[in-house]
Amino acid sequence: MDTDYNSRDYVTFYFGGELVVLDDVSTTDMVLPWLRYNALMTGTKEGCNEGDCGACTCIVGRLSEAGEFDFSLINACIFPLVYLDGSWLISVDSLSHNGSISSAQFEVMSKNGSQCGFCTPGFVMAITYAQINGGNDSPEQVLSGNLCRCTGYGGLIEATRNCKHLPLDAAFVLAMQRARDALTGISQGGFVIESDGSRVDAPKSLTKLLCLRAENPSATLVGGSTDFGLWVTKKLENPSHIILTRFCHDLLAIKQCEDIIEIGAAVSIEHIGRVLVSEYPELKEWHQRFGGPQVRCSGTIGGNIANGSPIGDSSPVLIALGASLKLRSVSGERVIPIESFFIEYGKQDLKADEIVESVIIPKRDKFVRVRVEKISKRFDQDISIVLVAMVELSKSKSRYRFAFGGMAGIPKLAKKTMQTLNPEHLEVDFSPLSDHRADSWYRLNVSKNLVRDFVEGRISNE
Amino acid sequence: MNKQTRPEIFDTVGQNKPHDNAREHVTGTALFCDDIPEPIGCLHAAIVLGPKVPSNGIEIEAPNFGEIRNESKDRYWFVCVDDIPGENNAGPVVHDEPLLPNSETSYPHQPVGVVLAETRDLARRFASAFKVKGHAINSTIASLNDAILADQMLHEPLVLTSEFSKSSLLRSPLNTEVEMSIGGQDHVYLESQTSIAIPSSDGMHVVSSTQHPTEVQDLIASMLGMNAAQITVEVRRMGGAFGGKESQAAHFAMLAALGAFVTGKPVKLRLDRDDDMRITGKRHDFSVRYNVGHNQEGLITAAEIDLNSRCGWSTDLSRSINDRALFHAENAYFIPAVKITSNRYRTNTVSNTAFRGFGGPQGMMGIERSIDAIAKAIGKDPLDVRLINLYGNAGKKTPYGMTVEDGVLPQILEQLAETSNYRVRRKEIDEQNNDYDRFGRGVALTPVKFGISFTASFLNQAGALINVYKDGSVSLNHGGTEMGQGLHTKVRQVVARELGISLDSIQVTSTRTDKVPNTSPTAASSGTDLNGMAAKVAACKIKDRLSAFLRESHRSKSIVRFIDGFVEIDNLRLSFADLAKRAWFARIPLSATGHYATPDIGWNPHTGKGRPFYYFANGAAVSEVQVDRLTGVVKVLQADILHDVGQSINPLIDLGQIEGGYIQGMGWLTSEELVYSNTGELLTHGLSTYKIPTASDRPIMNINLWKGFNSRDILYRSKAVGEPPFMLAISVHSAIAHAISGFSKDDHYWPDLNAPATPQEVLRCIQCAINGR
Repeated sequence: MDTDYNSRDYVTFYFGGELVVLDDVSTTDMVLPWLRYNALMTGTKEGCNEGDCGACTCIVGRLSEAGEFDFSLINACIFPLVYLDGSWLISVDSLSHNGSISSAQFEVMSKNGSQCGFCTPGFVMAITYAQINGGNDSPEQVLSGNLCRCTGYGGLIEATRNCKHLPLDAAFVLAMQRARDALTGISQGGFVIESDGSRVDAPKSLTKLLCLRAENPSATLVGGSTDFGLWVTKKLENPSHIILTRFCHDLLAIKQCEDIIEIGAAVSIEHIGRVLVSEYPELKEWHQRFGGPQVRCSGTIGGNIANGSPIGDSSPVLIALGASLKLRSVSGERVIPIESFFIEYGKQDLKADEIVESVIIPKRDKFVRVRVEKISKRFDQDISIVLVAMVELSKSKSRYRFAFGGMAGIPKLAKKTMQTLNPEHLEVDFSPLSDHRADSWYRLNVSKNLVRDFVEGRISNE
Repeated sequence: MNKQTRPEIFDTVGQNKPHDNAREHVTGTALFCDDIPEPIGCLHAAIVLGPKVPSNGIEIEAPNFGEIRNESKDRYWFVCVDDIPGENNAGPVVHDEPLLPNSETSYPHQPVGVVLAETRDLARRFASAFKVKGHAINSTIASLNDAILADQMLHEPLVLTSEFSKSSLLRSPLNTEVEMSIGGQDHVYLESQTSIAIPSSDGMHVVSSTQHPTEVQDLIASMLGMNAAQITVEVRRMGGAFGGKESQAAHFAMLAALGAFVTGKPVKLRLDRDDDMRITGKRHDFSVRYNVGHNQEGLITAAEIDLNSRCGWSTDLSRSINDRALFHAENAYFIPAVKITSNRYRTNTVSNTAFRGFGGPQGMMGIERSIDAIAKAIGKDPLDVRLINLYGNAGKKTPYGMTVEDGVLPQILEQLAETSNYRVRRKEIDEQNNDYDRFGRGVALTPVKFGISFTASFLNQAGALINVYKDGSVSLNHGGTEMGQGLHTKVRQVVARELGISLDSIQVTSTRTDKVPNTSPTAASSGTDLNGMAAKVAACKIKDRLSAFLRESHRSKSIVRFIDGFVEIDNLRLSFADLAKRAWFARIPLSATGHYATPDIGWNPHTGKGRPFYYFANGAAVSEVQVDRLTGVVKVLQADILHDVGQSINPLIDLGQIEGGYIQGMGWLTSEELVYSNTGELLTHGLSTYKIPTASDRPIMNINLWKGFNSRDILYRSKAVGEPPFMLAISVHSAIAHAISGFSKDDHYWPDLNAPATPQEVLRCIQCAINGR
């Protein structure tokens, strides 16, 4: 339980070789302005201030219970400062020491990876993250959350390819040891900070979180802040009270049972990929195109659903797979099919004292075929025009399920079309909007084409 | 001249040299405008945006501060049109652009003032709390089509005719007509517009992320009722610019300077990305119509061409941009009889401005599309139609009457077709494409012939300042600005060669109007040509003085050689530093300015005739694409490029410009879509909605430099490289159209594909192809 809860009214993190303690942090303070204007470390740049360009990319290391660092890539512009509690913040300024530069920096420099140099520090951080994490992502995937307007990416891709398999730099290993020493024994979360009419709660247990939720119905629940951050940086909102979910251990669990996978609401999109893609290999591309690594590391599955967006990338897939949501409040839990969670645009089946606790996903063997198609103007790091998830079930009265994002005010099943298998009936199921991503004609036609193709089985298990 | 016997290891001209500041880039220590330590008492500015539709009777209402936390302990200032002591004008050429409106806004969200506060966050929050009211003006026109219907022109059209009469087209055996719309483009420089203005005892010091410090200086001086000598504008580097900071950086430097003037304190203004996209101009969107007469072989005999562009609410650089579009409407092809009409339309939207290519890309699109359509109509490979129509080296004249020299495109196209295996690939694709497969492919080869020189001829001049210090180190300053293109790297190479010294002994310093005055913008691909030549002139002056001194003191008439940090005469050899010190003792001036003006250019703006360009840069690209029949989604698979940069000063930098230009052009023609509301409000005003290419959009690229040289004697026979490669991406658009034509059963079908070829636009064309429309 939260033995230390309320005993702490500050956050602590490790940055630039020392522990930083901040007690005057508000709901609207993000990492980037702190770095540039408080710490006066200007290597990290602001390009878009909404998590799309990656110029402000930093790395955050969090110690696991086993004492190992789990690293995340973040967009510092929309990452709340309070989320650094108990963590190691690594910015580009930390990579070079006394005139020596890191291998990622060296590779970018020697492959002619910079022209104007403004986006470069962000790329260096993304490449460093790939070097730390290893993995099989292609260089293009490693860089998918970073924009460069000058180079055309050739040198950056080459630098990434060279760096990915390099061992960690000695200087980094040493810094990691120091960070580990400094952070060992320091709590992550479990604080409440009040200042000037702003309050941030960071509960560590579900019980505490539910109490806070019940007692503060007007407080904003913040997951990974990939949307909340924009309310602050773009709409200039000034929320008086936020409750963070990502320090809550109970929401970070992933449970695998015989026929289901249960994923805690605060699990990052990056992490759900590891379980979901191994169960559903068909979801690999869907996962890789779910934002860039920065967005995937921060964004949570619960946030993507509870936000209620008609163009969130997880909901149509979960609806097609017949997943359920576990909702919980101080007075108990209820489990509902995920499609019934979305009532209409901006309205979800979630009571004021409830939170999304977890999502329950059936295993692969229920399905003959699973196919997800994300349609967007750009392949990587783009919001869907239409996202269609189509499945064929092995044993069921209704053999097909087609779920769509971007076709209505909510993510939604194409019920009529699922019965008739006639793609033209999508016009009965949906009357999509025309907006800056595409018009109604395109949304309908692309959907018809994909449903027809799936039903006719022209492309199977892809 | 004596041939030098030793290789000059310090002479790096022609070699791969990385960007001067690559190390600072990767470590984040290259300081951009917002990274410079703020002066004491610095205030931050945020823009108060006007109504989202153009309005009159503007009233500005200060906020109710109860909404803003901490307001009691923070002050703010509001600066508006009433605070301007001098001329209220930000128009660079024509003074038709008030910096701040009096009572009427001319486009959506037009700034009406700035708020100054102690932090940027507070300034933004204060500014957003202002309420700006007015009465919407109903008669405004937002779109290009509406402006054409209303015949609302910015100024008179420019009509250029060459051997053209009414019967020219009638006499042609065949006619091919093409109409298309070509979208605009946001610059998406990663560093948004930023300026700091610092009042000083010399007047006002302004650090601005601008391509045109002199213009910023002039506009601020006239706004504040000061003279130019009192305003110093400085820029060390920009985080990308691409034309977007040529004329339109001035507005934000002016607003910062106005704030500094009113408060007496330093003021910094850095735009939020969305504000930047909402209120700054873009590449002009065009609609073009081509009626091309030709014979059965595809040889063009005549053409009538209409170019219509949306200029926005003010003139800005639209005259020159449209002039350049007109000068490129025939791209690389000789048209014996031609009439080109360039119509420039005024709309109540942001004032469209310079963007890499400066109208050239929009000019070229239509002729390339026409050639494709002609080839399809007569059943030939479009490459063959291109080849027979190229200017070549036969001394043919452009419609504006300039003889084409350096007519190397026939060789470039043949060589590229060979090395890229174009013909085999095109044939394979034509045989494989069918209407069953989900993915179709397309491949195309298109050329670029791009005129080098500012079309505003007086801008073709540059200055440089070289100071040699007693230790032999050299401070190099010139009028060009660094925006990532490697200009400073190249000019440093030039000076190192001329003085025979190492790159390390030369320090390039910030571009400043008090060091080199009356500069031209760093634009029109001209930065290296003009400033490199000016620096060469300055270096030669120093060299001449030192040589004369050495000959005199050595009592010799022999040639003095500057090699590898040493200076040699007869058997004497001394270090450059040693000579500098001796020259100082002998009271020889060690500082020199250089000036360069491009010779032999000029044209008549009424007839459009003359020689607007010093020379042409050439290139060609083969692009191969894959198109998804179900979704219209395009993937560019491969690009093969052969590009003419003359004798390259720095192949590494040039290859970087070519690759970056191609990718930027690819973005313009595919994923980058500016979507406006009916009232002209930009709906895609953030990077979440406006999509520039990412790493995965980059095709496999094979880029080679054409082994040739500039027939004009400029800067070691090199050629400009900034803009021309952008237009290599027209091959992407052509390849997409080729892929779409593969879905049609009609051998003569060519799609009416507009730009950008978004998934929606491509799917529309695919369905037309399949349904035979």
